[in-house]
Amino acid sequence: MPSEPTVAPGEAGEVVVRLENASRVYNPGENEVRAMDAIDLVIRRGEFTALVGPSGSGKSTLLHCLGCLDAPTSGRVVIAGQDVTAGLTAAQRGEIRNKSIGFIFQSFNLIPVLTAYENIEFALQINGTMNAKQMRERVLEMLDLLGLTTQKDRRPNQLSGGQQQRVAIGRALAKRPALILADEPTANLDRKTSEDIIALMRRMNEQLGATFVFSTHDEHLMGHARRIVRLTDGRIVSEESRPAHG
Amino acid sequence: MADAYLWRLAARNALRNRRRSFFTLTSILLGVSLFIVTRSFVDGIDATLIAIEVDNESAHVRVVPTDYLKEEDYQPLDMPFPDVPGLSKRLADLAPGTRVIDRVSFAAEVGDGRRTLRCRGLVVDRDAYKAVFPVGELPVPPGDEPYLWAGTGIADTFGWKPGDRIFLKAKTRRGTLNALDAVRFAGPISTGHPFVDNYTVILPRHLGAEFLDLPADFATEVLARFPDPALAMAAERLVEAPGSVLTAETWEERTADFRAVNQIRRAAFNIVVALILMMGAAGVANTGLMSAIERTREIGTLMAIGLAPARVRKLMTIEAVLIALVGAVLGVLLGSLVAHHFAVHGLHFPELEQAENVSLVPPVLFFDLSARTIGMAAAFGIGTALIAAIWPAVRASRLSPIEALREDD
Repeated sequence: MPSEPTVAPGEAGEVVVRLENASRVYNPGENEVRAMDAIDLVIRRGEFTALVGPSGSGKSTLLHCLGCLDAPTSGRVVIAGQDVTAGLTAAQRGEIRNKSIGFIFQSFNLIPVLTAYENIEFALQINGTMNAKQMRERVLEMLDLLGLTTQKDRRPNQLSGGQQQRVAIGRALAKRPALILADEPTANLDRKTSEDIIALMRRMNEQLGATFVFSTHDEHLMGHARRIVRLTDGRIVSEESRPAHG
Repeated sequence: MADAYLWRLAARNALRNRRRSFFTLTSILLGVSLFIVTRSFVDGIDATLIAIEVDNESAHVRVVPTDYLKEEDYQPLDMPFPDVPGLSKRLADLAPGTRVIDRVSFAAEVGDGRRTLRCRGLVVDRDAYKAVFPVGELPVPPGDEPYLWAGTGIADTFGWKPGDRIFLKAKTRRGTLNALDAVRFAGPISTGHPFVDNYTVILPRHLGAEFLDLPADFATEVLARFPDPALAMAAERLVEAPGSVLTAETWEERTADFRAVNQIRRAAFNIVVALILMMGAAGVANTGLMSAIERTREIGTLMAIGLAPARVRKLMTIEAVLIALVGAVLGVLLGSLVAHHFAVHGLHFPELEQAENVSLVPPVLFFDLSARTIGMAAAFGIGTALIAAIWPAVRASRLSPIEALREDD
């Protein structure tokens, strides 16, 4: 039997990521594109935040900077207390992602030759902090939470889009990262499945205390978020907080 | 195993494009098996020719008076060979199990009354000769009549059967001609050494000494066979001490010419194998590159979720090595099977059986399949793949995860 869900370590409300006057400029010069412009943003532990805005508003760039996949051209990014703005090697950035960040992608991006079980396990193996028994328990726990126990031996091409995204959520959550970033996680799903996925993310947020930041331009899905950050032309134009459900 | 999960993923990735992996694997398989077969072939030539020479003609070391070497073609019997018994004892004392024989080589003529054949005659002590050379029984006919043994080639030429009377003529030590017209043919000698089989007759010591008018303890050459072939070098130092009038020829010197030719042969085969392995390397590099290109997004995902660039390199390298490993194992099996077949049954060259001397390829060649050859073949196969895998692996590890994730968007 899977063990009880484990809550991510850390205190509720502590700062997970901080962006200070962060900008990201592509092609500096005449044809420069300012994808992120002087962003100040603090994400605290346990938040369930939606980044909202039209295409090209800078949602993905902001997510990439939050996730240490990209770095701002000016300003500062601090993830889990570590300044990751500049001067880090690809390996060091990888290590930060490995230890502190989970990703959920629009196209699921599961490894096609691995089963649902193995896809989740793979993230733990990369993480390298658990022994085989602990990994097995954690993967089974995640599969149980995600309602995928009976599909654990199926490969991605044998799963529906919604099931694949569940596996991707399991992969992101299994190592209990400080922050989970989801870039348009429902863009390739139908309305009902999208609702299910967001509801599942929300449940993981509440049950496990996981910190989620996700991007979407689906107004309907924004209703699930406890905090909504609106972006336009790379700038934060408004922020809105909502009371917790229940 | 450390990073076992990378091995599992690599194994599954290697199976993703089976046709491409199969072609890469096949080129490694061919290179490895060809390496084993060709090297076993050339090593077999070396081993077979050395064995034929050592086992049937010159043992591990052959000692002659230095001046004799200049006159050897005429096989003179008047060249002094000082202290044959003393030298034989000193050689025998080099190591327990050493066998030593002295013999007299002379120019002979044999025939059946109608036809004659010039050949080499040897005068030997039968038992000592058998102890040094594995020539078979050397049967002794009943009665007191003189007898000799002859190589199978000579016996076949004349159609001799054991007991037949044959004609023998030679110059004695004093330079006079001597002939016997009723020597019994005691039996054939079959050694595989063309010169022994086709051009040699052997007389027992008592008959040869009388026929050639030889003094006691006379010899034209002393031969020694050691439990360890390397002792030939020690024998050479012993014989060629300062002031010595003797020269020692080791088995390595006696076989140097054909071993040198074999080195050229080996190099030529190595070039062929290298070309095939280069094809394999190109296959590995191509497979790796195609894989990296096709899986850009997947590699980006792996890096995004924390797989370090070094591990990406490792993953890609393992994929190539796994394909090469399977190719190398199958290549070792195939190559070993072929080489083993010819090691047991030999490869026959009937046209060489009438050769006058040890030729550059023996009439029956037994391949020499060694663990060293198998190890080298496997190492070359896998090593080539490893080197070829570096570029695609490095290229994959240098992908920016963010760029990789944008692929196909």
